[in-house]
This record gives sequence, C-alpha cells and structure tokens, in this order.
Amino acid sequence: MPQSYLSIQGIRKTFGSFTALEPIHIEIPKNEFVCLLGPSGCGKTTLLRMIAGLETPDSGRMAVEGKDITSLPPAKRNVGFMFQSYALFPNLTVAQNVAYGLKEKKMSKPQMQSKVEEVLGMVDLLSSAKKYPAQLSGGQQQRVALARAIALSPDFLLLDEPLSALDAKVREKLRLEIRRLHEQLGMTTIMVTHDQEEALTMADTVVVMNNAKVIQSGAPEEIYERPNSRFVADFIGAVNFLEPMDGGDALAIRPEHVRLVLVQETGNYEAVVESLEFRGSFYRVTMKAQGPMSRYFPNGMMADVNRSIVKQYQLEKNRRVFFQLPEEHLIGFGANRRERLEVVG
Amino acid sequence: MRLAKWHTAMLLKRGNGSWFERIAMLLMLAGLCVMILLPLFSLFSKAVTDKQGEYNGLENFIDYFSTPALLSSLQHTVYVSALTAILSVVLGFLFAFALTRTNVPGKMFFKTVSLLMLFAPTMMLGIGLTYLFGNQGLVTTGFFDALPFHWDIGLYGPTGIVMAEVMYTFPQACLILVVSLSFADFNLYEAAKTMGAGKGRIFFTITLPNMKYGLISSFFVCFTLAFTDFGAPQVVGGSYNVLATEIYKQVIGQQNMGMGATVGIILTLPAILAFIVDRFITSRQHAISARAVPYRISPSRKRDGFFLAFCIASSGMILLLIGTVFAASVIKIWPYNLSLSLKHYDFSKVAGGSLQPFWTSLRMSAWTAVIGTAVTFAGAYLIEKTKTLPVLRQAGYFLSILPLALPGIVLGLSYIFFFNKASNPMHGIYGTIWILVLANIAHFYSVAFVTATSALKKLDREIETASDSLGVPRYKTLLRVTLPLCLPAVLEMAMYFFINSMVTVSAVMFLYAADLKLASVSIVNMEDAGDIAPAAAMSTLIVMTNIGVRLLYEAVTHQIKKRTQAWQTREQ
Repeated sequence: MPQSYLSIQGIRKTFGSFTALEPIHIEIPKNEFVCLLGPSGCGKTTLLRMIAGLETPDSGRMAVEGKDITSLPPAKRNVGFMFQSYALFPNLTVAQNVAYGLKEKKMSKPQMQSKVEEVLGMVDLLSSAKKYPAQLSGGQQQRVALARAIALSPDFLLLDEPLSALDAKVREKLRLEIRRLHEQLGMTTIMVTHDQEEALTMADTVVVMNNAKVIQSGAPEEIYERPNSRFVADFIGAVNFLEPMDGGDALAIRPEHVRLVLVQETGNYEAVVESLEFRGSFYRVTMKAQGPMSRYFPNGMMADVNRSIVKQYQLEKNRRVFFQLPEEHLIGFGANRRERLEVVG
Repeated sequence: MRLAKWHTAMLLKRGNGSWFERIAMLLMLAGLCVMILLPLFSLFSKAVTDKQGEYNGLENFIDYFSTPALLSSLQHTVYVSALTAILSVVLGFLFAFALTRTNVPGKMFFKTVSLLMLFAPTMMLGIGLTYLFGNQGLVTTGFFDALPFHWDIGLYGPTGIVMAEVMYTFPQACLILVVSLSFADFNLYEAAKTMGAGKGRIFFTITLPNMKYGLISSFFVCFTLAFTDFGAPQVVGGSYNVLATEIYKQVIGQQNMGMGATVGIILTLPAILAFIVDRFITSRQHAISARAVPYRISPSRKRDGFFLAFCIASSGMILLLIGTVFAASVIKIWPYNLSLSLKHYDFSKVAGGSLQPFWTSLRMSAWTAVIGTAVTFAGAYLIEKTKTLPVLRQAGYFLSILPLALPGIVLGLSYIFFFNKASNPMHGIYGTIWILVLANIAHFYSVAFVTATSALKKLDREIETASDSLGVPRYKTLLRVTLPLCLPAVLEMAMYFFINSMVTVSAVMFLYAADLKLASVSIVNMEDAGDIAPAAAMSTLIVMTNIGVRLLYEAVTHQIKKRTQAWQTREQ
C-alpha cells in the first residue's frame, strides 16, 4: 500500500436538513488518478469542492502530507479546479484565461507568456490563444479550462464531470489527453463522474459513493470483478442477479460470463429468448427462465454472445435455450458465496 | 406599374396563413401607420415649414442652432441628462447590488419603496423637492427656524431638475441592473477564487464585464428619460430652460409650430440613439450557459452594514419626498398653520377647477388599459404566431418597437399636426377623449408589446400546429389555450397602460380639450398658478390610485397563480 498523500478523515457536511456527506474517510496516495463515482446527489461533487476549499466541512479533518489544510482558503491549497461548465471568463481571451491565476503570482511578463504558451501547447491550442471562449467548440473550451487548471502547476488537479457536456468522439479523445497530462505533470488527480465507463478507463482507484457514503474503493478491475454490494454491482456495468428465496444476500453474474447451450445438462437452466439486441461486437440476449428454477431469476437473464453463436444457435425470439453460470464468475455479497451456490444448484 | 403589382402580389402571396389572418395583419399595419408613422411624417414635414406653412427646408434648424437662447436649452438638457444618468446608474447599481449580492435584511421592503416612484407623476417629485428645499422648504428654513441653521441648496435650476430626475430614473436603472446582476455564473467566481484572485480583481474581471450591457443600457434609458421629461423641469427648473419646456413655450406660448416640431426632432435624437444601442446590445448579449450556477452570497457583516445604510438612506429619501407631498396636501397653510385639513382636495377654487380632471384621467386610463391591451396583444399574436405575409410581419415588428424611441412630447405634437388637419378623415376624434386614449396607446405600445411577445414566445411553438391537426380553428385555440396561458402578461400590460396613462403629461398636454382636462395636466396648471398644496393633493390622489391598481393587480395575479398551479409547476 503506497503512502497516503491526501488524507480525508471523518469529513462531514450537511446543507440544512440534507446530509451531503456522512463522515468520510479516504486516503489518496501521491500521483494517483482517483475517480469519485456515483449517481447524482451522492455527495461526490461536495467532496471534491471540499478538497478545493470551496466548501467548508461541518466536522472532520483534511491533511496533505500530514499538514492540516481543513481551513485553508482555495487560493492557498495549490489546486487546479475544472468546472463542469468550464467557467471560462467570456470577456477574456484564451491566453488571458490561462494567465488569470499566473497574474496573482509574482511573475515577470516573459515568464508568464512562456508559461501560457507551454500549457496551451500541451493541450494543442496555441493557435487559438487570441480567440474568445465563445469562438471555440465545446471540446476546445474544455481544453482551455484544462490548460487554465494546470497553469499554476497544482499539486492536485480536481475535475468536476469534465467530459459530461461533450459528444462521444471528443470525450474519448479527451479522456486520453487528461490521463496523459496527469502522468506528464506528476499531479494527483481527482475526478468526479457519474459515468462508470469513464471511471473504469481512466482511474487508478475508483471510489464508489452513494447516499453521502463511500461504498467501495479500489482498482477498476477489483470494483468490476468483486463489487462488495448489490449497489456497486448494479451501478457499474450490466449484471444479472440470482435472488435467494430466503431473503438472504443475492448472487450476481455479468452477462459476458453467462454461457448459452442448446442441450440440457446438469447445472443448466432452461429459458426462452425474449429479445436480441445488436451491440456492435456482440449481441445481448435477454431470456426468461422457465420451470421451477425461474423463481431465482425474477428479472430474467442477460447473456452477451458473439455473432457466430447467434448464427450457429439460430437465436431468435421465443427460441428455447439453456444457460450456464460458471461458478468462478459468480459474485457473492455478504455471506459465503459457495453455500449460496449450493442452494441454487 | 407592373413591377409594383408584382411586388404587391409577392407580399400577399408569401407565407401560408388564412385569409382572415392576412386581413387582420393588414388592418394591424394600417392601425400602426395611423397611430405612429403618419403623425411622425406630419411632424417631419412641419419641421421644414415656416410659420405661414410654406416649405423652408432646413431653415428652422439653422434658426435653432443660431439662436443662443434656443441653443442654450439643448446644452442645458444634455448637461442635466448626462449628470442624471451618471448619478442614477451609480445609485441604481449600488441599490441593485444590495438587493442581489448581499444579505441586507428587508429586501422586499426596499424593492417596493424603490418602485413607488413609478406610480408618481414627475411633477410630484418636483413638488416634494419644493416643500423640502424650495424657498419655504423644510430644510431651507431650518425646519421653520426650529434649527439654528438654514440651508438653501439653490433648488430652482439644474440642481432641482437633476435631483428630481435622479429620483425618477433611479428605479428604472435599478430594475435593469437587478436583472443584469442576477445573470451570473457562480462558477466563474469560484474559478477565480481557486486561482487566488482577490475581491477587487474579481469585481473588475467578472462582475463588471458581466453587466457591461446592463450598465450601458441603463445609462441610455436614464439619459433619455431625463432628456425628454417635462414635469420636473416645469416645477423646479426656474428660469433654466430645457428642450421639453422650450417646446411647450414655442407651441403653446408662441404658437410657433414649425420651431416646436424642429425642437421635437432634436428631442428624439438621443432616444433614437438609445434605441439603436439597445438593439445592438440585445443582439450581442449571449445567452448564459445552461450549466451556469446561481450566485451564492457569502456572509460579510461589513458589506451588509454598508449596503443596509445605503438602502435606508435612499429609501428614506424616497419616502421622505412622497411623505412630504402627502403631508403638504393635508396641512392647512404650509408652513404657518400646520393643522390638518382636507380643504386642498376641494379643487373648486383653484386653477384645477374641480375634481373633474381626476375622473377624466381615470376614464382615459381605463379605456387605454382595456383597448391598449387588446390591440397590443392582438398585434403581438399576429406577429409572433402567424406565418402569414413575412415581409409585412417584419414591418409590423419594427413599427411596434418604434414608439420606444418616441418621447411623449414628440408624439403629442405629431398628433396635433396629423389629426388637427381638416383634411384628415379622422379629424373627428380631435378634442375628444379618444385622441388621448390613442396617444397613450401609441406612447406605451412598445413595452406592452414586448411583454406580450415574450409571454407568447414562452408557449409551445406547436400549439397552433396541434390545433390545425386536430381541425380546430385558430381563433378557438387562441381563446381557449393561448389567452388563458398569457393571462398574467395580459394583466401586467393592462396595469402598465393604466398607471402610465395616469401619470403622463408629456403626450397629452397638447391634446386635451378644455372640457377634458386631465389630473396630471391640472397639476402643472395649479403649480404654475402657485396653488401648490392642491397640486400636491392631486398628486396624492394619482399615486394612491396607482398603488391601489397595483395592489389589485397583485391580488388578482396571486389568485390566478393559485388556481393555475397545476399547469404552472413542472415535474422535476
């Protein structure tokens, strides 16, 4: 476990009667790329604003390398903050926007100019230095905001849903760009998002939040393969649930791990195809379980299969099939999952 | 000839409205021409004729600019208006800032007080100032020698005019600036904070640039209002002549219509400039991003303390002024006999004559409200909602916005020239209450038109299409859906027409007939004749009436809101 750089200890925040954050504990190592992931209203943006100093916690403590920063104003924290709306100054040019924070530092004109050129070069916008934000595309504005945030060489780059306003193509490109800048500049980056794909592809560590609490944090693979709760399993990626009849914890399995066969074997479940959805590189087959076992799958079963299987099995609506749930891919919550498996089998 | 025919055919052919809509559109255009364009044309032609009615080119203008006495009125007006505009914008900005960016307590109260001025005729401000700072004024005489010092500010002249005009234009500046201050993206402020910018830098790089257009536009509005106002300079101007009083002298005093028209055209110049600037600004103003976050006021006792003091001082001045006029109207003989009496409300012995002017004003304002609202709404509906005759629709839009650039005096003057011609088939309305109603509708048309247009714009564009597809005639949809949805705007328009018709003097002072004297005009006459207390009484009646109408409007609007909540609230 790498050493903690930013330490968040029992931070709590309420707005009137609304609790935005229950006491939160997170340790973030230096140079990590952390994504705060969760549905809207889960407190992730409040936490990010707290780290920036834009919000004061009701209680708790924040420290960087052991030094308390809880009551430092934003200007003294050395953070670069990028807003969801970009918050570019409409009356200033791109270069002036980037230089806005530099002017607060005692810096000579040529120094400032070379810094502006340097960061604009990093985001490939040197040629637009004299333009105003309104003259740029959404993706370009986003890059200006990014350049402005990194111009002060911050210790922390804080990003509040930076990509949510962009269309899919630009978004993908900027994901790589942000990740590249993060590595190049050696910052600790914390990004808020509600897009699980974004979190999984970009982060070193994903912190999943819900209802003002941290539910799980870990590497993307860990979060995806071993979600610790029904909420995390459901929120990240597609998932099927096996509902136990005794009201205990459910089991879950990802659709890509569900296997389809045409003949009945032990451990198979009978089902009828309800729909076929073309997803590009694969098909998602939605089935309705048949027979006495169907009560374990009240919400049906999804399986992702490739094109050749669809052809070979002649899958179509109302086709009778069997599905298998490979044991090694079953996700258990709470109690021992092997026991659960036996109950179902 | 054939080309003209072709053009007419094209004009009538384009678009795809019903015949009914086309005829309505043509009628509306004809109406706007009679109401605005033709009278203006008469004014322009009058400006290039001499006293005998012969064409004399630019003779009048040359005359004007070479007569020092006349030219001085222009210089005076520019000076007074510029000073007024600067002061009003600064004070209006501070007031608007207090209302939008601080935690000053009692915001509703301060806002209400600042709007009180909109209910008062400008003469009333002058009268109030006379009672406070005039020769027998409360302050001038040191509270009737109760205080050890006297303080004569030299009210009559530019001082008094600027004071009155600032009080008159301040609420207008405040209204504009409150709107432009409330469009802010709080994220910009936070971004600046994370980059270490201080309060001063944030103010000059974010707050001010963001409200740039609001400041420019409020400056022009205040300048134009002060430039064309007649009431205040008439009461406290003394011998300091301004354009508005000059026109009055030229037309009523010397019957010099040509020169009156010439001065009228000069009077219109800043308004036209303001009109162009405003158009330009509206086209430049970019919409605020949908992701913008509303401004969050940070706690600060020092700031709130300062602005509270400012709000108390400025509201206090307004209340003091209005209160003084109220008090003066019920005091027997100011300042010698301070016992209370209602004798000033008996107008039979003074220049006013009787209470008749007040009733006439009420009647005229009510008709203006009813007819004006109906006509304006219909006009806005035709322009906004029909697809008929696009070229004419553009023209109609322009004519509807044009009155914004026309000072009341100029409109009144144009109406004399146009309707008083014996050859005019509408000559019959001259000298009746209907010419007053028509002049008021024209005078206040634009603002009401904009209110109606923006209400209509908020409605779903497909309402008419939906009604077409259901086979329901448009007029039924207008009556059953569009009009009920716009009811709050319709009431606002009616109130606007009524209140402004009650206080206006500039457009109607050339047009009223001897037996149809108006309340606002009688204030001018009484004040002129030295019957200041009755003038105060009449002012009080007007303000009370307008406050009453406003309260009625609030009550009805409240009821409507309650009853229509179901389709006003939107599911989140």
